[in-house]
Amino acid sequence: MKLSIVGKLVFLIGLLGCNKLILRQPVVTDENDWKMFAGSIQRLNFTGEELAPPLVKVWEYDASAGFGPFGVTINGNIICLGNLCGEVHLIDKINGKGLGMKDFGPAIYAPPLLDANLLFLALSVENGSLLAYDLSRGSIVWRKSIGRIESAILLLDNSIIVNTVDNGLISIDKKDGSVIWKYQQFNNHRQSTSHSSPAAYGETIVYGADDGSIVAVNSHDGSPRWQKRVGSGLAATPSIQENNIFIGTLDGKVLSLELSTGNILWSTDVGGKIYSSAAVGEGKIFVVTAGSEVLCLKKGTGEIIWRFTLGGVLGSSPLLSGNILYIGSFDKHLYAVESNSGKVIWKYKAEGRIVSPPVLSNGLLYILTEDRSLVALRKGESD
Amino acid sequence: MTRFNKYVLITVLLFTSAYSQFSYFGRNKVQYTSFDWHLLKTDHFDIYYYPEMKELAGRGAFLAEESYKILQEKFMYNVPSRIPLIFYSTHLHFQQTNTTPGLIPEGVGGFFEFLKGRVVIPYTGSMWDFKHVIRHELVHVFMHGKISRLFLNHRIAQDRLPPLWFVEGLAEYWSIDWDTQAEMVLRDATISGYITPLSSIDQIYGSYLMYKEGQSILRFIANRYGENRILQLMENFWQSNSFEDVFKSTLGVDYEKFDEEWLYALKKEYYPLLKSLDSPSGASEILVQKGFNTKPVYWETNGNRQIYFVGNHSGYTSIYKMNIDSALANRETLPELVVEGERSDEFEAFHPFQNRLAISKKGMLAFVTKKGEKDALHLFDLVEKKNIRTYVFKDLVVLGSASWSPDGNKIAFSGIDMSGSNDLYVWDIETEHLERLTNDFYDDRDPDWAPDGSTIAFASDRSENGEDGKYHLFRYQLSTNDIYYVTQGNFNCSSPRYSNDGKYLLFTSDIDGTRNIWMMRCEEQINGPKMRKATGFTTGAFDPAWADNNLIFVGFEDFSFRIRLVENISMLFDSSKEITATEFKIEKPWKPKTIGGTEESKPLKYAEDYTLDVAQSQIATDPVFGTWGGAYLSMSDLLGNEQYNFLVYNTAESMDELLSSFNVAISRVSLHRRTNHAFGIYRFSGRRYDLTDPDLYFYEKVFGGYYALSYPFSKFRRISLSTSISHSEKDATFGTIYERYNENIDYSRRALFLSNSISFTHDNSLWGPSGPLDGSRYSATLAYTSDIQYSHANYFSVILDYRQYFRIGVMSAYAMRYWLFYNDGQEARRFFMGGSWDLRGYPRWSLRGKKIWLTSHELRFPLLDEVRLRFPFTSISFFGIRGALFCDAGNAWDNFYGTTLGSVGGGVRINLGNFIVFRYDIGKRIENNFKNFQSRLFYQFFFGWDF
Repeated sequence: MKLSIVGKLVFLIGLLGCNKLILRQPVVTDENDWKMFAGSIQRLNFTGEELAPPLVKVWEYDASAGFGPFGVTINGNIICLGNLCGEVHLIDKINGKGLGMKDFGPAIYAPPLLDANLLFLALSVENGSLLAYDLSRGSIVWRKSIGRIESAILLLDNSIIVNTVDNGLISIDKKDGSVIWKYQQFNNHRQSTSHSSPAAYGETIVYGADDGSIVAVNSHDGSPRWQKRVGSGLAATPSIQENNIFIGTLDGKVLSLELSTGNILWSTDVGGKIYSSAAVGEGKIFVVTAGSEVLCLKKGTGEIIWRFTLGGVLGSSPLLSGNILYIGSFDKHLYAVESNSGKVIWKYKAEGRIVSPPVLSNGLLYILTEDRSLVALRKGESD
Repeated sequence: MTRFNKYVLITVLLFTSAYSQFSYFGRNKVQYTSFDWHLLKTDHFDIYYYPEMKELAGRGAFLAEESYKILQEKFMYNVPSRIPLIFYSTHLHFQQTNTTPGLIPEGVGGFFEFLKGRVVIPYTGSMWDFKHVIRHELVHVFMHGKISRLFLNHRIAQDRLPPLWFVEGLAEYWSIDWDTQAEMVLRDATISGYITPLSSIDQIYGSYLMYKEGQSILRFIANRYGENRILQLMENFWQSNSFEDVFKSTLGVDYEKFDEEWLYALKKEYYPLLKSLDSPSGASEILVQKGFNTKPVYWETNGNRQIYFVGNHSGYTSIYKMNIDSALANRETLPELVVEGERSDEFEAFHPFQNRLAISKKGMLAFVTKKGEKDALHLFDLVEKKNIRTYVFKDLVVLGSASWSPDGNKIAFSGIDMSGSNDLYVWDIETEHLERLTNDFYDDRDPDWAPDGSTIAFASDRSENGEDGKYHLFRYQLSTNDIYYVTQGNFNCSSPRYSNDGKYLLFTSDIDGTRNIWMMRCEEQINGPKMRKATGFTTGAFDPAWADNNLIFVGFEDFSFRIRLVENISMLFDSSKEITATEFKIEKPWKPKTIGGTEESKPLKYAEDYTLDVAQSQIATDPVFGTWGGAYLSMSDLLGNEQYNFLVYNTAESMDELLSSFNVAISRVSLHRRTNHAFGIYRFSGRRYDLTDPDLYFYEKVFGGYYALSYPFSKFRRISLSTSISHSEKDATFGTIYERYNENIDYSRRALFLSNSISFTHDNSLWGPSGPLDGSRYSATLAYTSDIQYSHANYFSVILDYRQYFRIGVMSAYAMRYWLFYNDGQEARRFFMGGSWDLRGYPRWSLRGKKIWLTSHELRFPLLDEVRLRFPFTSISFFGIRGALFCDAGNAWDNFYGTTLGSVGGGVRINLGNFIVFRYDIGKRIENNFKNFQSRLFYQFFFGWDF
């Protein structure tokens, strides 16, 4: 069958039309938004919304490739996700319809941040790794080459805080992309690498390094506050509440450090590698390990209150909603665990492994499952 | 299709699925044992085992689940589907598996087959080894799954794995701690100077050294850069087709910079050892140095001091002997062959690193070889130089090291039964009674009878540290059947050897981090023996043997196992430092953990467990025959015992021909019994060119069926029978070349062919880089074909092919071949000859006749060990470039013989990755019935192995 010239043009335009990202109307945010990874700059994995199981599937969206371990962001009625094929998808959070997609090229490990009509996106590539995209115009406002980024970025006042893989922690002006400050940490004359996302509290930014160091810097000028070696490797993102930092290590420990000084307040051996950030609640913190365990520890002392073994590797952060802990597992299940006792009260079997943290907004729970789906769940009928 | 091509297709169909069982030559994988397969399901595994090894299967299940839990955390990955594990209770059973088509060498401890995701593992008697191999293979399973998932997530349509040094290095690094074996190899490689940098590690591709270097590299990365970097290397693997780029992006250094760090660290660690330790060559005399040599035993007769040992310097593992004084006088002295292995059914294979030799006072050598389904214990009279007796034990599959009783009437040895247990036995030669001394799951090995006959020393993992893989020495008191500790602690001791007067005990121990030879006084065995170090080598010394007051042992150096001598051992004992072994304490014996699971007892049924192995489609075009397209599918059950092959293609050039041009062949191959058989049906039609009858093009429709079976007498010999019936219609003749086409002749023909054949094949050849170097292979086939309906054909065939290889040097040989291919009768088909594979100097397949004879004589020798081309961006190496000088003679004829043809010349062979050999020959034809040479030279370039 031969296409006429017009037909070819229509086809081409249609093809291009599938690769655009424009929002004609401004985004209207609300209090139940999930604006960044772990819910806030403190990375607490806590939501004020309560949603108790059982849950049922409402819709499923094909995001066309796999995902990193940082979930989605939600602003107003828009879900933003990035996939490992370099595509950003915008999806209507109520009905699951696609609102637009654009292929930016390199892999995207963390979801983009949305600020008014500006989308901030981090890419795993040396050149052009951080960009600001104007959704109202459908064009890139600025793009910076600051090195590969494989963690979640932080929106802090007027700056974007980025922890690159091997080029240090960088503060970028969100308006024009200029570098405000840069902090680099060296180990044996070599730049330390990092896959941990930065967390912030007050005027301090904290992150973990691959060599097992926790680093705290001043958020205004990037000057170092303190640095502490706590293990042989750190991949998790720290959580900060008031003056306390909570972080898990690849040596199987959970630590609490004093934010102002870096002094270790307590250290608890949990026996399994920790790749994800903790969920912080009232008097308790919850961590999950790659050894399939979920643990509840006392915030003040690190004493283990309870621990249970689920199925599969637990590689992504849990979400605390009221007294329910939602945990995604590599065994394809979403578990709902009662936070006081640790008992599994409900579970949902997805089509694929769940490698990203669940996100809750306006009564809908969103999970990313392999191969490439975003699934929305809502409250279902009780048995 | 011509009848010949039909047989080619049948052979191809059988060959692709049945491998050596049905190919022209090749050794046989013999299914001696009938296994009643059961299935044990655990959380993550489907475990296949047979009832005799049920307990072992439960232990293996526990180890598998334990490994799964550990590896899922290391890989940050869960394997999504259930993993089939196939266990065998002995290595001899494992060698019979059809899960892989090829023969399985002695050194293969297990494998992961990624087509069906199967893991196949034999038990060797050692629970620690079992644990190691299970985890090693599961590392492959996890890595394969993780990488596949990585590409899927990044939507990359690729199917590749990291380089082999990383794949195997990680499997070792994550399955076993850095042990004395790994330490031995890396120390030797560093000190002897043959350590291969990472930047050129392809030079040792596939070798054991590569495994250990890979393990060392990853260990270094974990220590220097952090353990998490290893996972990051895998998770970044999608970034580039070049693993070096991924390496640099992850670690921040390229291969060359990494080599500087890693090699420097090794030198810093190992060079200082030379201050306090010696290399074996620096502190002992060499007795045997070429090849791998193990398990020496001393025997003196009429003042002639000799050692007998297992060696492989010729390529065949055999028993050799060496006169000690001759060896000391001239280190180039070659050992003398005593018992030739790997060539005959009687001595099918040795287990070179496992079975010790033993010689009685009267000169009777006791040794073990594989003989068919089981191991056999042989008694060889060293004076008469002949094998006197051979024993095969009904309930024992594998036999271990032997030791004579002082009176020479009994032999103690270890043996593995169908359950996998390795226990001690005593065989009384006179009464032919077998007594079992131990009967448990502990791995008991290396017995040595005390000179006073009252006790047997042996090594076992029955101590408290046995669960961690530690072996120690024990004494079995024959009068009371009690077992006593000799050594104990968190280290290894093995290979106990009593002195002739019974006062001392020699053994191997790694108590100070390296395997060396130690001694103790026997009177001190009770209540905490004092161990004294006899050798202090940097690398390793083991397999000790007494030679009067001297020590014979195997030393590892330069990646070789060499037999060495240290004199005056009692002086060593008096002067060396002593270590008191750990005080004995009462220990709770350890017990391997086992796991339940859901047990299903069912034979594998053909309707179940079949999965696709190969699915391939192809479209081809030819200027004469046009275009054809088709597909090939192959399916088999999980154990590879039953296979189905489907071939379908179409050669239609227009819609009218579509139905009539369908070609289809279906075959089933059954390999699970000793007699392998295959049968199939087919239908072929299309335009054909008869290769054996020049310029004749025709259209043929043929359909029919066949049945073939093959019975292996042993690994080396088999008989094959086949019968086929096919209906053939040649409908028309056409073509563009009608030199012999005659319009008055009706070329169409119908026939109903019945063909029967019988073949006998023998092959014990030893292969070098480009072809066989030793042994022989021959095949004889008789066939008869007749048209039972229309009487258009009626002929018989005789095919004789004999090849013999005479070893001249380690890598040189004189090879000869004799062919007689004879067809006679009505419509007898032609054979063809000519080209690089047979009569060189003549165009390929240019000589055709119903009768062919050929003889080839060739001198094969090495030319260059390595040619390396180094480019700015990469380098390519060619190894084992070989040369040949040849002379061929033969002819092809129908009824009239004509002149004898021949050629002489020389050539070069280059083996590319053990996959293909390129060959280039230059020479002259011998013309005029062998009276003169051709005036010019011929040049022939082709590919293929030497005959």
